[in-house]
Amino acid sequence: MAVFATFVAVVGGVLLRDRPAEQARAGATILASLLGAAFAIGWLLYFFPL
Amino acid sequence: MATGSKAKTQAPAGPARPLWLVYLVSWLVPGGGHLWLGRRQKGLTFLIALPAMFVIGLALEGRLFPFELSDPLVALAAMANVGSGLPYLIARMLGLGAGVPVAVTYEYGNAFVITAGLLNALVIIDAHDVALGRK
Repeated sequence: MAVFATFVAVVGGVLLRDRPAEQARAGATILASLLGAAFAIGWLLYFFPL
Repeated sequence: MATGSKAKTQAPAGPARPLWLVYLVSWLVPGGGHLWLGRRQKGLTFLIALPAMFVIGLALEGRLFPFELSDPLVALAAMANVGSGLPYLIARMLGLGAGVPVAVTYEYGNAFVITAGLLNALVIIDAHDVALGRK
């Protein structure tokens, strides 16, 4: 999941911004959002049986 | 005089490139369109990341879906697969991508392969904007 999120974040960051520093920041934001959402949804579903 | 506006990296001036050829190159070689238009850093990033995603997907036992119009979701996945361009064509020629549905990593592999193709579609659209001078 983390590897997938990293690839998407790298490509997304490079697509959205032109400067390397801004691309890195955008990519990090995308990565954090994807991983954060995955963990949040995972914990949410944890409380539902099956 | 500083204006505070962001300096945009401009593609080097060169002969006009037919848009259809930009689309074709961008599709066939992920990042190829950007490299051709002078955006080396972007092009190299896409050239490395997207085929890597595709290969990882196949290594995870993901499947290259057939164009089965009777099953719309399979057809959509097939369209996404084709979006990867040359990696897809090479994989097809080599007979790869049969997929192993019982493999633990099957769905993850599918996610990688499908997403690689869809991201390349975004890259093609970005190359279109670069070619028109919007970026």
